[in-house]
Amino acid sequence: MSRTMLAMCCVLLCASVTLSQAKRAPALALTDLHGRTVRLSDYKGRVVLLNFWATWCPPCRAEMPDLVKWQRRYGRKGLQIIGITYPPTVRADVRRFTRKLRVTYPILRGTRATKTLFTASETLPMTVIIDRAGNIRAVIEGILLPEEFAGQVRPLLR
Amino acid sequence: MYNIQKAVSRLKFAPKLKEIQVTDITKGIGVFTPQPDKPVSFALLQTALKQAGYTLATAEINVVGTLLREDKDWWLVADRTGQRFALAGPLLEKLLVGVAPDARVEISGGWQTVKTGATETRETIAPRELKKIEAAPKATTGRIMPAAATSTAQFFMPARFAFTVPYTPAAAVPLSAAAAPIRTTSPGLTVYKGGAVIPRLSFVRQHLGALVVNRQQLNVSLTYTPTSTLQLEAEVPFSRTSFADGITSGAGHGLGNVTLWGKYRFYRRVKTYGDRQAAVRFGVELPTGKKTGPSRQRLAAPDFVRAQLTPINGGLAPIGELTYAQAVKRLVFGGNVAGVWRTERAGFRTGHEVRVNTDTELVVFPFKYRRPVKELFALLETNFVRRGRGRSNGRTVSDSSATEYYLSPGLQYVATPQLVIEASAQLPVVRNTGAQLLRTDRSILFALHYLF
Repeated sequence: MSRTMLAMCCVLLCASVTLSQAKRAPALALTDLHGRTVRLSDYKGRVVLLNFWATWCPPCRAEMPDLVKWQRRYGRKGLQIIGITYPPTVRADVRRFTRKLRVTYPILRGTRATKTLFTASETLPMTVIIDRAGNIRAVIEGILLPEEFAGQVRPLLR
Repeated sequence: MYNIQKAVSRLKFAPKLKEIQVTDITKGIGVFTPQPDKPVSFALLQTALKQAGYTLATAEINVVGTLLREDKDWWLVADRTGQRFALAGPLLEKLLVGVAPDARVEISGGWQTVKTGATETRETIAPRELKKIEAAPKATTGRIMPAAATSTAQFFMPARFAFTVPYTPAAAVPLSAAAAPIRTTSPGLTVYKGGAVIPRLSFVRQHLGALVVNRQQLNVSLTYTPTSTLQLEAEVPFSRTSFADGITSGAGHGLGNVTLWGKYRFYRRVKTYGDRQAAVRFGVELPTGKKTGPSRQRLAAPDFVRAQLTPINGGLAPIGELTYAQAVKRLVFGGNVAGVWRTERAGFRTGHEVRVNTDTELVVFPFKYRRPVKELFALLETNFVRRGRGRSNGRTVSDSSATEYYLSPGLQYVATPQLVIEASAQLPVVRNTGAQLLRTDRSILFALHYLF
């Protein structure tokens, strides 16, 4: 009996620690390339990757084919990637680039302030992993590597 | 920077992320010491960086090991890992003079992975430097390498990547400047009736990181003034440009863009000891200049940077100017506001420009004015330029805008009524420039004005 109580206490303690660590994603509303407003809450119930990028950033461009691939492969399992541009942004460049890469996920226009909602780091690209409950699970600086996707995103899609 | 560290840290032979140093972010030079017990591969390093969006141009390596000779081939067997590096290169024979075939040495040089078969590769070093290392004390069982020596098998990789700003432009060091320096000698000098031939020779030094550029530019300007209010001018530039970045160097020369000008003086008021005049000037820069710069193989730099080594700033460019000049006793003051609209040529142009220039001239001697000869003027020009973003390969280059301010002190001597000699130096005061523009360090100008 005492062992069961002890185990339950441990489980509750772990759960509370996990809950306290998980930060709620802020309410985000940005416009896409066509001027339509897109809200983060529109994707409630999905695993969202907010990918901050810029056309002038070579690593951002290098990682995008992987993001496109993952969106195609795991979209049905609940993955939603959202690209957020980081200034300075030339809308025509963004359109041309996303068309060339056949990006199927939404691209929203961000500002420096948008990125600082998640991190003060100046690194680009930067990817925020948000779980189905709307909690920020991780902030990945630099390219989202396949091993990071496998280790941190795929478990959330199960 | 973080992306480079992250990319390299994925390699099995790489150290921890924080131990990978990017020593020059603008040139992408990185240094790291591989794990001493893991074999290294240039090809894997290249692939890792490519996956992160960077292009590795060259790398150098420093290895401590034992020389090995097999037939005519020389090898270096690294301490600890036992990895074999093939030695080749123009300096090899020279460096190996007087070195025993099984000597312990430390070799530095260019690093490559060379294919030797369908799937086989080998690491090669083109030695640049060879240091003999004293042999360890011999033990009865043979040679024992001192532990400290084996652990100093240090590799470092000054790698030049074909990029300039790896992450955010806000965090990047401002690095550049005008593609071609701006000189507006005597902007207030408006219209003289008659004609003039004005050759101007300038020596300009620019840099971008370790890339140093020297230009010698000859501008020959021919002016003709058919009436007292109208002046026509043709300006023909010719330049020689040399560059060096510590690894490679080269030079080129060619004709720049010919510019045609027309100036109309619409206002003049003459007083006893001075006058005031204002004019508008329109010009068009014609796409006549040489458009080919050094190739990517010749200079590992972004296209936009290499294009700046040509004598041109782009293609056809209309120019508009408003000029005002005022002379009061011994002091002459002139100023102009100019705008340049550039079009692309061969997919390249620098940004559109707005310039504000002033020119103050003081008659130093003679103290008592008799006639307009043997006069010495002290000059002080100021040049403010705001340049927008340029374009390369049909795309806007993000870090190519600039705000610059220069001071140019100089002297002008009126030797005869027909001949004026001028010399001045242009010194940068403000160079708030994007990371893909060459940065002008100084410009020295000599000019002759022959009036007829």
